[in-house]
Amino acid sequence: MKNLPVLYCGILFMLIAPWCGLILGSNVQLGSLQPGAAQDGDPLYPKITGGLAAQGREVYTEMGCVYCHTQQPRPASAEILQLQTVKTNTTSRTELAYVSPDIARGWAKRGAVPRDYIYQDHPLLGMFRNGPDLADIGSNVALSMPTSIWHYQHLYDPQITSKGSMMPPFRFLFKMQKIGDHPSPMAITLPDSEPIRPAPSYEVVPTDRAIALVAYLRSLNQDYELPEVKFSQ
Amino acid sequence: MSDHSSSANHPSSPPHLPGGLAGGEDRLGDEALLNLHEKLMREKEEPSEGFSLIPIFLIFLGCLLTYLNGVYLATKSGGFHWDVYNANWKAGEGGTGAVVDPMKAGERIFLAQCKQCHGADGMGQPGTYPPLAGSPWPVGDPARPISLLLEGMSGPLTVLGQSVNNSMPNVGAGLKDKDIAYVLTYVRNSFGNHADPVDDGEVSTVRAELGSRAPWTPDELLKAHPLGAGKAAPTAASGTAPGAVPAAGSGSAPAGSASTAASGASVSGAAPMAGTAPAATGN
Amino acid sequence: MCPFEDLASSIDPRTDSHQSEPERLAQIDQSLRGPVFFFFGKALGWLILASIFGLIAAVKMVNPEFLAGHEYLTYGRVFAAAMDAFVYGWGCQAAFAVALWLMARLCGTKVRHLGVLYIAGAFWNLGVLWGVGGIFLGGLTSVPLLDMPPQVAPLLGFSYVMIALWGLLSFHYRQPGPVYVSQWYLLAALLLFPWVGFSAELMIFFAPARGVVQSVVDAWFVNSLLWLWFAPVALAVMYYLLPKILGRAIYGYYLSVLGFWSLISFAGWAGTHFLVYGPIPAWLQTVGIVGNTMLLIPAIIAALNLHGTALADPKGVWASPVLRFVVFSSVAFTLAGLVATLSSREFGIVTNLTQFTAGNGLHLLYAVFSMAMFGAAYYILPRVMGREWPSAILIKAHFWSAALGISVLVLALYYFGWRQGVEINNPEIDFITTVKNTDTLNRIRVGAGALLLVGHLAFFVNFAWMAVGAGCECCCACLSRFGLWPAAGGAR
Repeated sequence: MKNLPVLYCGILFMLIAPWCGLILGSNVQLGSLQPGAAQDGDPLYPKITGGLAAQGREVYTEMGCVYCHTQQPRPASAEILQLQTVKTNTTSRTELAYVSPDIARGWAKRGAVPRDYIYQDHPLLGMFRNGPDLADIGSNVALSMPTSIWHYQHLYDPQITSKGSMMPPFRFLFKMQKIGDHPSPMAITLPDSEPIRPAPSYEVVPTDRAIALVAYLRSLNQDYELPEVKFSQ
Repeated sequence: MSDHSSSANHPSSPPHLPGGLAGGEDRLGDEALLNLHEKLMREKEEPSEGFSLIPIFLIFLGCLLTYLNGVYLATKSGGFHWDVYNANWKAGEGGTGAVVDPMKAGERIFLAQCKQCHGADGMGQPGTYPPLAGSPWPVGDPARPISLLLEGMSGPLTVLGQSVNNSMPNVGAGLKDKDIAYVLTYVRNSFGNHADPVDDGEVSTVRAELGSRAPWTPDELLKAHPLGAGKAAPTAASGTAPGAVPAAGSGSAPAGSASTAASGASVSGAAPMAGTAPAATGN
Repeated sequence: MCPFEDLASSIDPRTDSHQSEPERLAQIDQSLRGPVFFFFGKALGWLILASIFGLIAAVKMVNPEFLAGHEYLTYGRVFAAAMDAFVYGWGCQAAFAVALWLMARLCGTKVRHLGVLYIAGAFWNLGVLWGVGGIFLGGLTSVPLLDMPPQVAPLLGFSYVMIALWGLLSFHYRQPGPVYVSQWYLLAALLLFPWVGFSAELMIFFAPARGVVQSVVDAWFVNSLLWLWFAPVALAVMYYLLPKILGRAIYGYYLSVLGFWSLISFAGWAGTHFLVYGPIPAWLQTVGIVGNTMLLIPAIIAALNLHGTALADPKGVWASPVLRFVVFSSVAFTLAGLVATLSSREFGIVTNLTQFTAGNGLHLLYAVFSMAMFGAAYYILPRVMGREWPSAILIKAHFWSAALGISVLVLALYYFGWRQGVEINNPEIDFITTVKNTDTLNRIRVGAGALLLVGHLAFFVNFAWMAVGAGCECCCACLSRFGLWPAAGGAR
């Protein structure tokens, strides 16, 4: 190529054009989204996560959870045609229907949209699913009752709650402390099969970071509708 | 050494002039000089390019790819709207956004708007609010329930052996077409009912035809849209009253066939009760 | 004289044209001896570290209790550290070494004022060390490929500017004549990297955009890094070494032009294909898919130009260890373009968010870029150091372990990633079952990772051996340049 100005201008144009189209375009469309309500008079969503849950997000970031867990449930896809059992009042038949795999798994009630992430410092969308999608885990009542014991046990040693899981144990988010006059209400009960247990007269108690992290996980929910997206399936 | 198979008319390396080391460089020792020369002699010519023409198939492929991708870009971009997430969205479709399940949406609207009177199980309140479960009113010709919702109804009627004389507000006037479609689809396919779903096109047609008018009386509505007619024969409606009747004292509801219900509806001459919005009770 | 004129004339890298070409090339090589050695050496060190971190992460996937007692070595941090050490420690520095040398050679310019490059290189390494250390200590940002604490960015930016400036100065003062294809690629790469790096750091950390706009920026950054920084440097190497060593001409000049412009035009748009079915509008996903699909064109052109040249003399290719690496890299590039074409929504619903993406990343970063850098290193280092590689066996060991290791790894990631996607999309299958089914993949990952580490160690030992041999000469020459050692009579 002999024409240097063409080369320079061409390169610079080809670098700037995608930035303008993708980045500037998305910023114009999505960069100033405000919370919304599906119907007039409904409360506005999403809500700002503050307090303990915000600290928990810091812990989530520090531990690199994002490299195994996603927070982006996928919407109903017109490309997934699956055999689905469709039940009506009188019949139950199997037919091909368009499904959203993530919603069918119970990971969410709807696909995620940009407005769900406007209050997150860095949206923790994730890239891999070595573990389940967490965007709506906070609305999973079974996990949160009665005192989030499932979450604490899962963090202490994932094999307790999910045998065969690839998740590493986060025992360093807990501490062993001597049982005082009464056992601490925050003490974690461990099954007998758990190899690393407290010594007699000691108990396992979550540190502040574990408490914050669990508070964050319980705050994660997309259990609301927005004008641009409604619950499906 | 070098294979001069390249086209010779495009030199990529500048012409070199004969000569030894340029002045000003340090002198090299003998051994080092030999070493250096050995390495230099191994160095081949700088690379050059041939001038073969671009193969035709590549041009065709390029054009084909560009065309297909252009079409894809134009049709699957959801109109470049920020709130369209489904690639198969078409302009003018009812609402942007994700695919909606009418039954779920309808259930939510029913629970918000209709449950207070007709009950979460569609059994109504005997004597006060008519049941929907097994009723021939919502099923069959969709224009009937659409019209009912849009304008409201007032007057005595008998459904499944239960007589009521009450007033239903025109809840549909405050709902969007698709919401009416969802809730009717839900009612027509719940509580033992079975009928075709309603779509918002039908709702808007009926809305346009009716305009605004006084609430129906049951006879007027049945004259306009008789029971039993329409797209789907109400198979469930002819059956027995479903399940356990929750309200005590309602007695056994005899099997109300479509014709019985139709003939049972009579205008007693009483003026329609105005005003009291059933939805307000129990809130 | 005006000090600016002094400075300008002292920077002027033009060589004396009253020289034969081999002599001129030798002079250029000698002038770059220090920086190239310095950058490659540090890059190799980071490569070993990154391989070790990657191996630890792979073992953790097979046995989660491995090294699980300390939070510094939790999986997330080790994985992020491995990625960033590989990309910024090895990848970028190898690219710097190669870009500087190739640009100087093709432009026929000597590099002066090496001190600037040494300082820039030192700052770069300091930055990466601080960054990777920060990741282990918990300062990671959880933004893929931008995990290093953002305070590191200005340091890296400053170093980069110095290094790229030297590359661009070489180009500015080049010998008159047409500009060869490798120079276009290097120019594009050198101009792109600061643009994407600066934009990404600004819009994610220093003036954060709202919500998923950051994710779009990150996806654009990662894709541009792979296709517009690493791939062009690899292509520049391929376009230079293949015809040079075989003594043949590249198949077609017009093809090269088309290949260059098609890569530069489309790769920038392809970023959002990572987010198909993610929380972004449909049009952004479609644009990403379209950009990615069009990458078939540069892939085919690379096939015609590079494979055509290589196939004309297969024995020559096999005989040269350098070309084994380079041709492997060019074949991998064509395959990467073919994989990029398969990025429609039908495909993405299965493969996004699975290990397939990891395979794609490794395909570009290792099979295309790193193999080309290995080949380039085996060509460049003897010329700048003035010594031969001490051990041919180590080179063979390196080639075979790298080629086998990465082929097995990438193919396994593609296959098992696809299967994982199919299983996750089937709600009848328990999620924990899909996790258990990746066990085979994880074991393959450990094996392949170990094999790659062996190859890297072979390379490192060979390099260190050669460096020690040249060490005395090198140190003396270096010190004498700064007047700290009497000039010896050896070749400089």
